[in-house]
Amino acid sequence: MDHHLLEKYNTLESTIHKLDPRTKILFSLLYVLTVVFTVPGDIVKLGALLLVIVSVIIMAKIPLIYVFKRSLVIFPFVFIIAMFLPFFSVADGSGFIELKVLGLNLSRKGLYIFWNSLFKAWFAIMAMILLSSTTSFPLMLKGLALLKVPFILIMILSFMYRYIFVLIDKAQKLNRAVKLRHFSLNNFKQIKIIANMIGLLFIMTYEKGERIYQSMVSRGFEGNIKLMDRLKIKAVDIVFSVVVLTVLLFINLWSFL
Amino acid sequence: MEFPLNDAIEIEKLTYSYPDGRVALDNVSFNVSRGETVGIIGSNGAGKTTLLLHLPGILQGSGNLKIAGYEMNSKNLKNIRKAVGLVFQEPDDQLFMPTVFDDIAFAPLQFGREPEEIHKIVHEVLRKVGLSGFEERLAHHLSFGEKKRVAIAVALAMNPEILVFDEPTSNLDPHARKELIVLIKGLNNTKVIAGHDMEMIKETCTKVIVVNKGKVAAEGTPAEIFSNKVLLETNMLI
Ligand SMILES: Nc1ncnc2c1ncn2[C@@H]1O[C@H](COP(=O)(O)OP(=O)(O)OP(=O)(O)O)[C@@H](O)[C@H]1O
Ligand SMILES: [Mg+2]
Repeated sequence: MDHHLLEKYNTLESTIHKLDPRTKILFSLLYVLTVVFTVPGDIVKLGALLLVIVSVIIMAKIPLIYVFKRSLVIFPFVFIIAMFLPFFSVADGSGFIELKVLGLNLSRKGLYIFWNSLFKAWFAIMAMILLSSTTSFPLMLKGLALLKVPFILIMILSFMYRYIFVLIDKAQKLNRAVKLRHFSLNNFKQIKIIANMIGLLFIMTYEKGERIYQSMVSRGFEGNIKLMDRLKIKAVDIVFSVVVLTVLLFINLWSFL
Repeated sequence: MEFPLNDAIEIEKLTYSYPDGRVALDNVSFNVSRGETVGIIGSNGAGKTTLLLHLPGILQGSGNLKIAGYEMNSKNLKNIRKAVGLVFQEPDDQLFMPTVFDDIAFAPLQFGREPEEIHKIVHEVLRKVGLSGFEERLAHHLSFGEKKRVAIAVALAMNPEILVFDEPTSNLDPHARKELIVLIKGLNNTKVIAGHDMEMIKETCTKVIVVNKGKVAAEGTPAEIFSNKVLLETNMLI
């Protein structure tokens, strides 16, 4: 597998990359919250929020086109979830048909909600792409740990990150071995072989887990892992926080001014 | 006490069977003196890995073990694990943290070292294995040879009296193998090295123990063992 997809822009040098992961995680959350609490019709606020994310992407030296392309993955999910909304008048529950397009009955309220979920998901995914392309996975885990995410969850993610590539490697080797020996297979045989491969992979991972546990035990593991906090809030974090907080506050309070 | 005081490892009548009933070690006894480098050779399945896993008390068979002056029992286990640095055959099994720093820091952290001290330790052991500056590297981006070196750095982190290697040169290219041998020779801990790589054992060890089907078949200097073709053949080593 291409492990670089996850880590493609992690090693760039930019102000955003230098930020503490905690700062980035918190502001990503704050940004997503602001997006969620935006009224769909508030075009000015939406534009301002778009401007914020685009400027941070530019500051991080990540190509806009890359973020845009990757953000497209969210659309199928939103479509599947929200596809039928325009055909119902969910909001008022009356089922009242308001629009007729190409012979289809559409509801204005439904369309409104559909558009609402679409742009919110899109803005949120852009923030997440930005976060993951400027923060390496290990640093993200450190940040989450310091933000008091349950420890067991951090360890599960950490092991997953460490061994997913090892596992994929193993699976690919198995697959190659199968392909070398069987040229043409009917579907039934193929299913049998795949089932065997899954079984084998399960045993392999089980044994690997056992050896990893032995490695942990020989290094003093006694049931709970101690981790080290190597992160420090720097001046750049304070500056970034103040600026972005002011901007977000301004955007949120704009309509009341 | 009849044992000489300067022995790093004393093993007496160690027997171990795996849960499925297979007897992997059968009445194994030998000693390793302080500062000595002992090679353990034997064919596939002879019991080398099983034996090595007993040294830090990961597996516990019957018999008497004394490691770095500590009787093997649950009370001494922590001290024994501090005194034994185990280098696994497969570095992916040993290196389970995302970054090199976190992996090396793991043992010192579990044993309660202070953060400033840990930074020094990581820096120092990386220098020892010739990987200065590798702190923030991601484990899954390292080459196999680099992983092997990091695995040694991990084992060195607690400054152990005894270093244990399970087939340290397997899967290395000739150049990396040579460099690793130089690295191992340069470490002056008491060492136990298991392997099939006879040249490597000959070059690094002062004593060789031959195991076959879980039993000690012979013990001697490298010169004695490697010149005895009959012995090597009956133990399926050539
Ligand atoms: N987890 C296990 N469960 C059951 N039997 C095992 C287990 N691990 C090893 N064995 C068996 O114990 C015996 C000794 O295995 P061990 O791994 O110690 O051999 P080895 O000398 O290290 O071999 P190799 O050179 O292949 O690494 C073998 O017969 C092996 O099949
Ligand atoms: Mg082995």
